[in-house]
Amino acid sequence: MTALLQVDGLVVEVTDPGTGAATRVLHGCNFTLQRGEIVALVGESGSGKTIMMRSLLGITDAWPGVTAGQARVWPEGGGPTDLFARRARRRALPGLRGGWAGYVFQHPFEALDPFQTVGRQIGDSVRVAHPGLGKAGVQAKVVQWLTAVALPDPEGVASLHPHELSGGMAQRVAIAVALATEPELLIADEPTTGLDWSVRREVLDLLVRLQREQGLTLLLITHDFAVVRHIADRVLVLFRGRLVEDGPRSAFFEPGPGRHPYSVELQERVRALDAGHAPPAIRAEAPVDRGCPYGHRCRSRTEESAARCAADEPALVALDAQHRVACHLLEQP
Amino acid sequence: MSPRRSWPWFGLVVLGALLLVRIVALFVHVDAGAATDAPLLGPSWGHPFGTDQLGRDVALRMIESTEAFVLPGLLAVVVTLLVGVPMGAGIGFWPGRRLSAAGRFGLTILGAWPRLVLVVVVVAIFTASVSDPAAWAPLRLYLLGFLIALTFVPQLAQELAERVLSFQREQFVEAARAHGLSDRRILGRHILWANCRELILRQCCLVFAAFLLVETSLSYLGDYGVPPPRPSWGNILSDVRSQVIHVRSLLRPDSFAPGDVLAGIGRAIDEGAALALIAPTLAIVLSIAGLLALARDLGRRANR
Amino acid sequence: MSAAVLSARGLTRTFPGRTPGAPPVRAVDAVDLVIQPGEIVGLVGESGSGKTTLGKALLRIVEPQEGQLHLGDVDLRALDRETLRATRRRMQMIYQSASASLNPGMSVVEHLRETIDLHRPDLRATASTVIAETLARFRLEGRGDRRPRELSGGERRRVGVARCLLPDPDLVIADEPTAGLDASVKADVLEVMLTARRPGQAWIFISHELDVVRYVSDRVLVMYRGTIVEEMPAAGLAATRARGVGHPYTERLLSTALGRTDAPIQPAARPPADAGCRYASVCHATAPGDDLWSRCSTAAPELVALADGHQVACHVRAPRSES
Repeated sequence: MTALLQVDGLVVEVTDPGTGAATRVLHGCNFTLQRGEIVALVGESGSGKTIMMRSLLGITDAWPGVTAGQARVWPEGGGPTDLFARRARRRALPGLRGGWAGYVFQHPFEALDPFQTVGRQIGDSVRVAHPGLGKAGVQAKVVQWLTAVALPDPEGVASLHPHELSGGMAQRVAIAVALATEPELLIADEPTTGLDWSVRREVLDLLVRLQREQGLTLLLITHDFAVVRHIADRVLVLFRGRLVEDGPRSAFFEPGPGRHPYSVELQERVRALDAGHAPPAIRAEAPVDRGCPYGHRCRSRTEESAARCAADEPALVALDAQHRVACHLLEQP
Repeated sequence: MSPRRSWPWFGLVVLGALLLVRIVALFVHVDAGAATDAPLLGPSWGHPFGTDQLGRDVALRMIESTEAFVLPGLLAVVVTLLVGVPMGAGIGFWPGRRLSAAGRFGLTILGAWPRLVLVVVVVAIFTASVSDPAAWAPLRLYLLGFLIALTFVPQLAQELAERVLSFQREQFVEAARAHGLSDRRILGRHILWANCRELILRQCCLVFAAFLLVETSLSYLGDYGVPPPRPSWGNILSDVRSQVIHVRSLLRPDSFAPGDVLAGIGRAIDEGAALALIAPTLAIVLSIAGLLALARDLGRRANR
Repeated sequence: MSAAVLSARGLTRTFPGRTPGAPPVRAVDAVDLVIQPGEIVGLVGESGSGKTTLGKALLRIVEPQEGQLHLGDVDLRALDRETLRATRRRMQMIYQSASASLNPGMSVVEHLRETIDLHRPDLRATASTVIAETLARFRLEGRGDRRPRELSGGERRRVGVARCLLPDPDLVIADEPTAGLDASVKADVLEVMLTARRPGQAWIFISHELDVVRYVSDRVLVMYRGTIVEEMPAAGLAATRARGVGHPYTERLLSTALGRTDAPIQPAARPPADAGCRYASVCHATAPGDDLWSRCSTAAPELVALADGHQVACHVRAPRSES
């Protein structure tokens, strides 16, 4: 497996509009995405998952934004390119085709331009990937992409405006718009939240199929562990701006040595609803600034560890070659 | 973007000062019209702003001038509210009704007239039709207030209607009805009070400022404002108008050295009636600036 | 049976077509429904099923055009506006979008105080205490003076629920109360609602999330394009249900649950028909050429009892016995 994206020590700060103070929303995250894998980035709202991805792609207006850290991309047949280099910010990243990453927003109707037809919006993306292509060529590719996302009557849909589409159709169009730039990485931000069950299943299965057909790397941002269980090869767990676990699917869904208590909590919620009993109540203590960020909600704390958990923030430690966890309780003594 | 959650101090201070002066004027009624035998004095302890050409104390006259615009201005505000708010609220909340369509039509007509001209014409007709204009002057001021109010009604009603309409469409109105709230309550409490009051207050400030400006202008010009000997900031200025040349000659310095310039100003204030010119002008400018600042701040809060 | 909290017969609501020239849409098509005191009924369906419209029609938030509607003994459709407004004390709707149903210019406490003034004048004297208790019960302490914009998504939902439960209604309809929430917050909101519910209160729980509905409800109604196609005890909404039982639509929905190893059932792609079963054009349990197809394509099926508490409207799965 070759690496596609490597992130080291990413720190992102956002200015609070009320007080004017800068708040840290990401505290030094490190991870690597390998080519061709399906990775799920899991976290609740406010964990920082969306802002992390948007900061990497430079599509956020958070200020001051990225204040520390490095992110490098290895494009097809090229050397590493620094995403945060000043040069890179001003022009297209040298050595990378137009868009190396495609982003599918959570609410398709917000991301699509209400005044342009579907065909034109996909066409704009096509032109990013194929700058010199003529009108006929662009039109052919538009139809090709609409077919790839399993929309019936692609020529017809191309002439529609977003408001004429149903929720599921709009989400597929948004995926097509992102894919038409022929990226190497597709990031889907909560693509199934709020969708009907049948549509949700179709969208997820579509993403997996496209990933296989196009050889993409797929990063799925979600809060729902059921989605993670359905689709992911690897899981990154984010909690209050910190990466607390990074491991393969097997580490999460089969019995094994260690999982972060937060991951355990997320899974119990999914299982509880499935099984029909009350999900565990969230401990309602106030979050603290020192020590482990999950400490106030952790139900696995023991007498012995309590002091350590309250004082030191745990670092991401490798349990084995594929699996890292940030938890005092799981560290080898 | 720095959202300073501060009060609009300047505007509030100005408004407070105006009202305070008016209240003081009601109690401290010294006969400001009494001519002393000391015309055109400069400032002194007895006469902080000096005296005018008839020897009357300028400061006292300025205080008493508030009679000309405070109450009539408040009348203008009240009329604007009584007419504009129900119209705007009704048109915005029930846009489909025939009455709303008629209201919109009426507002368009009212808004299309050259309003200030209309006001002056009406006041002129009124003046011409009474035998003793000076005696009717107070009533004329209230009439002016009423007319100014009408000129602002279209603006208030249309802005309000637009805003009410945008809220009326929101789901919380349907949810409020589902909850059991009456339309009257939804419109009054939820839409107007909770969400439109800054807009309404802003219009009140503008109306008051407009009235002040029109009243002082008419009083300055002479025939349709406050007739002498009753004071108004406008007619104090026009009384002292004749002094302008004298003041100008006093101001002309021998040289442009700072010392000489200051000396010239000092002379103008002492021997001329410069203060009688400056003080009312400053009062008008500050008052209107304060009211407009208040209006602007309310406008910003309304759009928050 | 006048003991029922709510009963509806033949309730219908039609909307004009979306584009000019399109046929009118029967969002609620002759629905019959009876809710007993104290039960929690789940109403399941996808977008376009009409479940939200049915919920609103049951409370006359949207006016039904045909049918009978009774709240206990009271004929709801016969009430004039003022009496209907007063009757709302007994029947409340918790809206799907809490942010949209709360007044952006009013604080939490102002919302609650208004509800007390309106529906519980008996509590006016002790309003502050009641409000403080309510804030505590819904875990909103310290949030009382905030406006909706300053609250988190879960907090806004809880305010919406608190406001609707203050009048102590006999019937509560909750429209997608967990839609769009994080998995962790979802469980929270459900717990808050179930704890705050008075045991004798009847609830209708509308949602497209089958697992949530199964967890919360006593019995479940499945809705498809304006009609109720199946009714069963909540436990019947399990992925483990045997194939070939119950309505094909429910079967297909359950098959799309995440985490199942078998492939989801694909809908058929036939041209929509004017008459007959609404589900026929996508139904996987039958096809043109089958014995029962003539019935499916001409006559709309009615609900037929299969077993205790289990009714299905389908010619194939619950044929009406010819007598």
